Amino acid sequence: MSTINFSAREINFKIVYYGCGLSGKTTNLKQIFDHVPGESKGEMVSLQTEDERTLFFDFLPLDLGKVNGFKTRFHLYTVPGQVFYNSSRRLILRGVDGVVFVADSAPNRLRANAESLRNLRENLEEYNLRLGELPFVIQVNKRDLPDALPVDMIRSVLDPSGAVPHFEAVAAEFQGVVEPLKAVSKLVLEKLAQRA
Amino acid sequence: MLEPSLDLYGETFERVDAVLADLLVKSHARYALIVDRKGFVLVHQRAVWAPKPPSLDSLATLIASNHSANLAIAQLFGEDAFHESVQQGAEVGTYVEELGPEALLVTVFDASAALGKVKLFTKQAVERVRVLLAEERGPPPRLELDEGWSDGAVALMDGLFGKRTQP
Repeated sequence: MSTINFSAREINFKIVYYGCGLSGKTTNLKQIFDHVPGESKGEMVSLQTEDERTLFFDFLPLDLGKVNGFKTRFHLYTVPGQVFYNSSRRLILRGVDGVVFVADSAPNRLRANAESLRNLRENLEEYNLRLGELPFVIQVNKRDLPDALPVDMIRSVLDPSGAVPHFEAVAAEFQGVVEPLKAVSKLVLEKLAQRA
Repeated sequence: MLEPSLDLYGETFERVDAVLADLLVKSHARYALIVDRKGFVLVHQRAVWAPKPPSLDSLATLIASNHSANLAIAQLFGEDAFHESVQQGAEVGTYVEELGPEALLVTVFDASAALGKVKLFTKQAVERVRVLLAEERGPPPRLELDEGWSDGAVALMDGLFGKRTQP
Protein backbone atom coordinates (compact mmCIF):
# COMPACT_ATOMS: atom_id res chain seq x y z
CA MET A 1 0.00 0.00 0.00
CA SER A 2 1.24 3.46 -0.83
CA THR A 3 2.28 5.58 2.13
CA ILE A 4 0.52 8.94 2.23
CA ASN A 5 2.19 11.43 4.52
CA PHE A 6 -0.34 14.26 4.76
CA SER A 7 1.79 16.47 6.96
CA ALA A 8 4.87 16.28 4.78
CA ARG A 9 2.58 16.23 1.71
CA GLU A 10 4.30 13.18 0.28
CA ILE A 11 3.04 10.12 -1.53
CA ASN A 12 5.45 7.20 -1.48
CA PHE A 13 5.30 4.06 -3.58
CA LYS A 14 7.29 0.85 -3.43
CA ILE A 15 8.23 -0.87 -6.69
CA VAL A 16 10.00 -4.24 -6.53
CA TYR A 17 12.10 -5.78 -9.31
CA TYR A 18 11.67 -9.55 -9.11
CA GLY A 19 13.14 -12.41 -11.14
CA CYS A 20 15.56 -15.31 -11.13
CA GLY A 21 19.24 -14.99 -10.29
CA LEU A 22 21.37 -12.98 -12.74
CA SER A 23 18.36 -11.88 -14.80
CA GLY A 24 19.44 -8.23 -14.53
CA LYS A 25 17.45 -6.73 -11.66
CA THR A 26 20.39 -4.90 -10.11
CA THR A 27 21.53 -3.79 -13.58
CA ASN A 28 18.17 -2.09 -14.05
CA LEU A 29 18.59 -0.09 -10.86
CA LYS A 30 22.19 0.79 -11.65
CA GLN A 31 21.19 2.05 -15.09
CA ILE A 32 18.35 4.12 -13.64
CA PHE A 33 20.73 5.54 -11.06
CA ASP A 34 23.24 6.43 -13.79
CA HIS A 35 20.68 8.15 -16.02
CA VAL A 36 18.52 10.09 -13.57
CA PRO A 37 19.58 13.67 -12.75
CA GLY A 38 21.19 14.05 -9.34
CA GLU A 39 18.44 16.12 -7.72
CA SER A 40 15.83 13.46 -8.53
CA LYS A 41 17.54 10.49 -6.96
CA GLY A 42 18.85 9.51 -3.58
CA GLU A 43 21.67 7.20 -2.64
CA MET A 44 21.63 3.73 -4.10
CA VAL A 45 22.06 1.13 -1.39
CA SER A 46 23.24 -2.37 -2.34
CA LEU A 47 23.57 -5.19 0.13
CA GLN A 48 25.75 -7.65 -1.77
CA THR A 49 27.92 -10.67 -1.22
CA GLU A 50 31.67 -10.51 -1.87
CA ASP A 51 31.12 -11.65 -5.45
CA GLU A 52 28.59 -8.85 -5.99
CA ARG A 53 25.47 -11.00 -5.91
CA THR A 54 22.51 -9.40 -4.18
CA LEU A 55 22.35 -10.65 -0.60
CA PHE A 56 19.31 -8.79 0.74
CA PHE A 57 18.23 -6.03 -1.63
CA ASP A 58 19.22 -3.01 -3.70
CA PHE A 59 17.41 0.23 -3.02
CA LEU A 60 17.06 3.44 -5.01
CA PRO A 61 14.72 6.33 -4.10
CA LEU A 62 13.40 8.44 -6.99
CA ASP A 63 11.77 11.82 -6.57
CA LEU A 64 9.32 12.70 -9.33
CA GLY A 65 8.46 16.17 -8.11
CA LYS A 66 5.08 17.61 -7.06
CA VAL A 67 1.77 16.42 -8.43
CA ASN A 68 -1.35 18.16 -7.10
CA GLY A 69 0.79 19.65 -4.34
CA PHE A 70 2.08 16.29 -3.18
CA LYS A 71 5.71 15.29 -3.50
CA THR A 72 5.57 11.98 -5.37
CA ARG A 73 8.31 9.48 -4.69
CA PHE A 74 9.12 5.96 -5.79
CA HIS A 75 11.29 3.59 -3.81
CA LEU A 76 12.76 0.96 -6.11
CA TYR A 77 13.92 -2.36 -4.69
CA THR A 78 15.41 -5.52 -6.10
CA VAL A 79 15.23 -8.90 -4.43
CA PRO A 80 18.02 -11.48 -4.32
CA GLY A 81 17.34 -13.89 -7.16
CA GLN A 82 19.15 -16.93 -5.86
CA VAL A 83 16.73 -19.65 -4.80
CA PHE A 84 17.99 -20.00 -1.23
CA TYR A 85 17.33 -16.34 -0.33
CA ASN A 86 13.58 -16.73 -0.26
CA SER A 87 13.16 -15.35 3.26
CA SER A 88 14.76 -12.10 2.10
CA ARG A 89 12.56 -11.93 -0.99
CA ARG A 90 9.45 -12.33 1.12
CA LEU A 91 10.51 -9.51 3.47
CA ILE A 92 11.16 -7.11 0.62
CA LEU A 93 7.65 -7.64 -0.75
CA ARG A 94 6.09 -6.16 2.36
CA GLY A 95 4.03 -3.13 1.35
CA VAL A 96 4.78 -3.54 -2.37
CA ASP A 97 2.77 -1.32 -4.73
CA GLY A 98 3.98 -2.68 -8.06
CA VAL A 99 6.24 -5.36 -9.53
CA VAL A 100 8.57 -5.44 -12.53
CA PHE A 101 9.36 -9.06 -13.31
CA VAL A 102 12.76 -9.29 -15.04
CA ALA A 103 12.87 -12.37 -17.25
CA ASP A 104 16.09 -13.81 -18.64
CA SER A 105 16.06 -14.60 -22.38
CA ALA A 106 18.71 -17.32 -22.17
CA PRO A 107 17.36 -20.76 -23.19
CA ASN A 108 18.68 -22.42 -20.06
CA ARG A 109 16.87 -19.88 -17.82
CA LEU A 110 13.34 -20.47 -19.03
CA ARG A 111 12.56 -22.85 -16.19
CA ALA A 112 14.22 -20.52 -13.65
CA ASN A 113 11.99 -17.69 -14.92
CA ALA A 114 8.88 -19.80 -14.43
CA GLU A 115 9.96 -20.92 -10.96
CA SER A 116 10.71 -17.35 -9.94
CA LEU A 117 7.26 -16.23 -11.04
CA ARG A 118 5.66 -19.06 -9.10
CA ASN A 119 7.76 -18.05 -6.09
CA LEU A 120 6.56 -14.45 -6.49
CA ARG A 121 2.93 -15.59 -6.40
CA GLU A 122 3.58 -17.68 -3.28
CA ASN A 123 5.36 -14.89 -1.46
CA LEU A 124 2.65 -12.37 -2.30
CA GLU A 125 0.10 -14.72 -0.79
CA GLU A 126 1.90 -14.27 2.53
CA TYR A 127 0.63 -10.68 2.42
CA ASN A 128 -2.79 -11.64 1.04
CA LEU A 129 -1.88 -10.15 -2.32
CA ARG A 130 -2.67 -11.60 -5.75
CA LEU A 131 -0.45 -10.87 -8.70
CA GLY A 132 -3.50 -10.25 -10.89
CA GLU A 133 -4.63 -7.46 -8.58
CA LEU A 134 -1.24 -5.77 -8.38
CA PRO A 135 0.32 -3.39 -10.92
CA PHE A 136 2.62 -5.79 -12.74
CA VAL A 137 4.73 -5.72 -15.92
CA ILE A 138 7.29 -8.06 -17.45
CA GLN A 139 10.66 -7.00 -18.79
CA VAL A 140 12.16 -9.59 -21.16
CA ASN A 141 15.83 -8.87 -20.68
CA LYS A 142 19.06 -9.86 -22.45
CA ARG A 143 17.57 -9.63 -25.93
CA ASP A 144 21.11 -9.27 -27.28
CA LEU A 145 22.03 -12.86 -26.47
CA PRO A 146 22.81 -14.70 -29.72
CA ASP A 147 20.63 -17.64 -28.66
CA ALA A 148 17.90 -15.59 -26.98
CA LEU A 149 14.58 -17.38 -26.89
CA PRO A 150 11.74 -15.84 -28.89
CA VAL A 151 9.76 -13.38 -26.80
CA ASP A 152 6.53 -15.22 -27.59
CA MET A 153 7.94 -18.41 -26.12
CA ILE A 154 8.93 -16.66 -22.87
CA ARG A 155 5.55 -14.95 -22.68
CA SER A 156 3.71 -18.20 -23.29
CA VAL A 157 5.35 -19.56 -20.15
CA LEU A 158 5.10 -16.49 -17.95
CA ASP A 159 1.90 -14.93 -19.20
CA PRO A 160 -0.11 -17.40 -21.32
CA SER A 161 -3.09 -15.04 -21.53
CA GLY A 162 -0.90 -12.24 -22.87
CA ALA A 163 -2.59 -9.77 -20.56
CA VAL A 164 0.51 -8.45 -18.80
CA PRO A 165 2.37 -5.54 -20.44
CA HIS A 166 5.81 -6.70 -21.55
CA PHE A 167 8.94 -4.89 -22.70
CA GLU A 168 12.02 -6.15 -24.47
CA ALA A 169 15.27 -4.98 -22.99
CA VAL A 170 19.03 -5.02 -22.96
CA ALA A 171 19.32 -3.52 -19.50
CA ALA A 172 23.11 -3.47 -19.54
CA GLU A 173 22.90 -0.99 -22.44
CA PHE A 174 20.00 1.00 -20.96
CA GLN A 175 17.60 -0.29 -23.59
CA GLY A 176 14.10 -1.08 -22.37
CA VAL A 177 14.87 0.00 -18.82
CA VAL A 178 12.71 3.10 -18.57
CA GLU A 179 9.60 1.72 -20.28
CA PRO A 180 8.71 -0.98 -17.74
CA LEU A 181 9.36 1.41 -14.87
CA LYS A 182 7.10 4.03 -16.42
CA ALA A 183 4.45 1.45 -17.22
CA VAL A 184 4.30 -0.03 -13.73
CA SER A 185 4.45 3.45 -12.18
CA LYS A 186 1.50 4.55 -14.27
CA LEU A 187 -0.48 1.49 -13.19
CA VAL A 188 0.36 2.22 -9.55
CA LEU A 189 -0.70 5.86 -9.86
CA GLU A 190 -3.94 4.93 -11.60
CA LYS A 191 -4.72 2.39 -8.92
CA LEU A 192 -4.22 4.99 -6.19
CA ALA A 193 -6.39 7.48 -8.07
CA GLN A 194 -9.17 4.86 -8.32
CA ARG A 195 -8.95 4.06 -4.62
CA ALA A 196 -9.01 7.75 -3.68
CA MET B 1 -9.64 3.26 0.88
CA LEU B 2 -6.30 4.91 1.33
CA GLU B 3 -4.13 3.27 3.90
CA PRO B 4 -1.47 5.52 5.38
CA SER B 5 0.86 3.35 7.39
CA LEU B 6 0.22 5.44 10.48
CA ASP B 7 -2.35 8.17 10.94
CA LEU B 8 -0.14 11.19 11.45
CA TYR B 9 -1.71 14.46 10.39
CA GLY B 10 -2.81 17.82 11.68
CA GLU B 11 -2.44 18.56 15.36
CA THR B 12 -1.43 14.98 16.15
CA PHE B 13 1.51 15.29 13.80
CA GLU B 14 2.61 18.49 15.54
CA ARG B 15 2.35 16.87 18.97
CA VAL B 16 4.25 13.76 17.89
CA ASP B 17 6.89 16.01 16.38
CA ALA B 18 7.16 17.77 19.75
CA VAL B 19 7.54 14.42 21.54
CA LEU B 20 10.51 13.57 19.32
CA ALA B 21 12.07 16.99 19.97
CA ASP B 22 11.66 16.44 23.70
CA LEU B 23 13.21 12.97 23.39
CA LEU B 24 16.31 14.47 21.80
CA VAL B 25 16.68 17.08 24.55
CA LYS B 26 16.26 14.57 27.38
CA SER B 27 18.38 11.76 25.93
CA HIS B 28 20.97 13.95 24.20
CA ALA B 29 20.56 11.81 21.08
CA ARG B 30 21.27 13.16 17.60
CA TYR B 31 18.17 12.19 15.62
CA ALA B 32 14.78 10.64 16.24
CA LEU B 33 12.59 9.24 13.47
CA ILE B 34 9.33 7.42 13.10
CA VAL B 35 9.48 5.12 10.08
CA ASP B 36 6.87 2.72 8.85
CA ARG B 37 7.58 -0.98 8.41
CA LYS B 38 7.95 -0.47 4.67
CA GLY B 39 10.87 1.87 5.22
CA PHE B 40 9.30 5.28 4.66
CA VAL B 41 10.08 8.21 6.98
CA LEU B 42 6.91 9.57 8.60
CA VAL B 43 8.40 12.22 10.89
CA HIS B 44 11.90 13.11 12.01
CA GLN B 45 13.75 15.47 14.31
CA ARG B 46 17.40 16.47 14.50
CA ALA B 47 19.15 17.94 17.54
CA VAL B 48 20.29 21.49 16.89
CA TRP B 49 23.90 20.57 17.60
CA ALA B 50 23.90 17.34 15.56
CA PRO B 51 25.77 17.06 12.25
CA LYS B 52 23.81 16.65 9.04
CA PRO B 53 22.34 13.16 9.02
CA PRO B 54 23.00 10.61 6.29
CA SER B 55 20.24 9.96 3.75
CA LEU B 56 17.09 9.42 5.79
CA ASP B 57 15.58 7.32 2.99
CA SER B 58 18.49 4.90 3.16
CA LEU B 59 18.49 4.89 6.96
CA ALA B 60 14.75 4.21 7.17
CA THR B 61 14.90 1.46 4.55
CA LEU B 62 17.80 -0.29 6.25
CA ILE B 63 16.26 0.04 9.72
CA ALA B 64 12.89 -1.32 8.57
CA SER B 65 14.48 -4.18 6.62
CA ASN B 66 16.78 -5.03 9.50
CA HIS B 67 13.83 -5.04 11.86
CA SER B 68 11.89 -7.37 9.54
CA ALA B 69 14.88 -9.71 9.35
CA ASN B 70 15.25 -9.71 13.15
CA LEU B 71 11.56 -10.49 13.48
CA ALA B 72 11.96 -13.47 11.15
CA ILE B 73 14.96 -14.68 13.17
CA ALA B 74 13.00 -14.38 16.43
CA GLN B 75 10.17 -16.40 14.95
CA LEU B 76 12.59 -19.16 13.96
CA PHE B 77 13.11 -19.63 17.70
CA GLY B 78 9.43 -19.46 18.57
CA GLU B 79 9.60 -15.88 19.83
CA ASP B 80 7.01 -13.29 18.82
CA ALA B 81 9.79 -10.76 18.32
CA PHE B 82 13.07 -9.50 19.71
CA HIS B 83 11.69 -6.61 21.68
CA GLU B 84 14.83 -4.52 21.82
CA SER B 85 17.24 -3.63 19.06
CA VAL B 86 20.47 -1.80 19.79
CA GLN B 87 23.29 -1.29 17.30
CA GLN B 88 26.34 0.34 18.78
CA GLY B 89 29.57 1.37 17.06
CA ALA B 90 32.59 3.22 18.41
CA GLU B 91 30.92 6.60 17.92
CA VAL B 92 27.32 6.16 16.79
CA GLY B 93 24.51 3.80 17.69
CA THR B 94 20.84 3.24 16.96
CA TYR B 95 18.04 2.15 19.24
CA VAL B 96 14.77 0.90 17.78
CA GLU B 97 11.43 0.43 19.53
CA GLU B 98 8.23 -0.86 17.97
CA LEU B 99 5.43 1.68 17.74
CA GLY B 100 2.50 -0.61 17.13
CA PRO B 101 2.32 -3.03 14.23
CA GLU B 102 2.97 -0.45 11.54
CA ALA B 103 5.85 1.74 12.61
CA LEU B 104 9.15 2.00 14.48
CA LEU B 105 10.67 4.76 16.58
CA VAL B 106 14.38 5.07 15.86
CA THR B 107 16.80 7.00 18.04
CA VAL B 108 20.30 7.68 16.74
CA PHE B 109 22.83 8.61 19.38
CA ASP B 110 26.56 9.13 19.75
CA ALA B 111 29.16 8.72 22.47
CA SER B 112 27.96 11.85 24.28
CA ALA B 113 24.68 10.11 25.17
CA ALA B 114 24.25 7.38 27.76
CA LEU B 115 22.59 4.27 26.31
CA GLY B 116 20.48 3.86 29.44
CA LYS B 117 19.03 7.34 29.00
CA VAL B 118 18.42 6.76 25.32
CA LYS B 119 16.49 3.58 26.08
CA LEU B 120 14.52 5.12 28.94
CA PHE B 121 13.43 8.25 27.10
CA THR B 122 12.76 6.38 23.85
CA LYS B 123 10.43 3.99 25.68
CA GLN B 124 8.71 6.98 27.29
CA ALA B 125 8.36 8.67 23.92
CA VAL B 126 6.81 5.53 22.45
CA GLU B 127 4.18 5.52 25.20
CA ARG B 128 3.43 9.21 24.68
CA VAL B 129 3.04 8.73 20.94
CA ARG B 130 0.78 5.73 21.47
CA VAL B 131 -1.47 7.84 23.74
CA LEU B 132 -1.61 10.61 21.12
CA LEU B 133 -2.51 8.14 18.37
CA ALA B 134 -5.23 6.60 20.53
CA GLU B 135 -6.98 9.94 21.09
CA GLU B 136 -10.09 10.69 19.09
CA ARG B 137 -9.34 12.81 16.08
CA GLY B 138 -11.07 14.10 13.04
CA PRO B 139 -10.93 12.13 9.80
CA PRO B 140 -7.69 12.29 7.80
CA PRO B 141 -7.49 14.95 5.11
CA ARG B 142 -9.01 13.91 1.82
CA LEU B 143 -6.55 13.36 -0.98
CA GLU B 144 -7.91 15.08 -4.05
CA LEU B 145 -6.85 13.15 -7.12
CA ASP B 146 -8.50 14.38 -10.27
CA GLU B 147 -8.53 12.46 -13.53
CA GLY B 148 -5.35 14.04 -14.75
CA TRP B 149 -3.40 13.25 -11.64
CA SER B 150 -1.70 10.08 -12.85
CA ASP B 151 -1.15 11.67 -16.27
CA GLY B 152 0.60 14.55 -14.51
CA ALA B 153 2.86 12.14 -12.67
CA VAL B 154 3.66 10.22 -15.85
CA ALA B 155 4.50 13.51 -17.54
CA LEU B 156 6.99 14.13 -14.75
CA MET B 157 8.49 10.72 -15.44
CA ASP B 158 8.80 11.63 -19.10
CA GLY B 159 10.65 14.73 -17.98
CA LEU B 160 12.89 12.67 -15.75
CA PHE B 161 13.92 10.12 -18.35
CA GLY B 162 13.01 11.80 -21.60
CA LYS B 163 10.36 10.30 -23.86
CA ARG B 164 11.44 6.88 -25.02
CA THR B 165 9.97 4.25 -27.23
CA GLN B 166 10.40 0.52 -27.25
CA PRO B 167 13.67 -0.36 -29.05
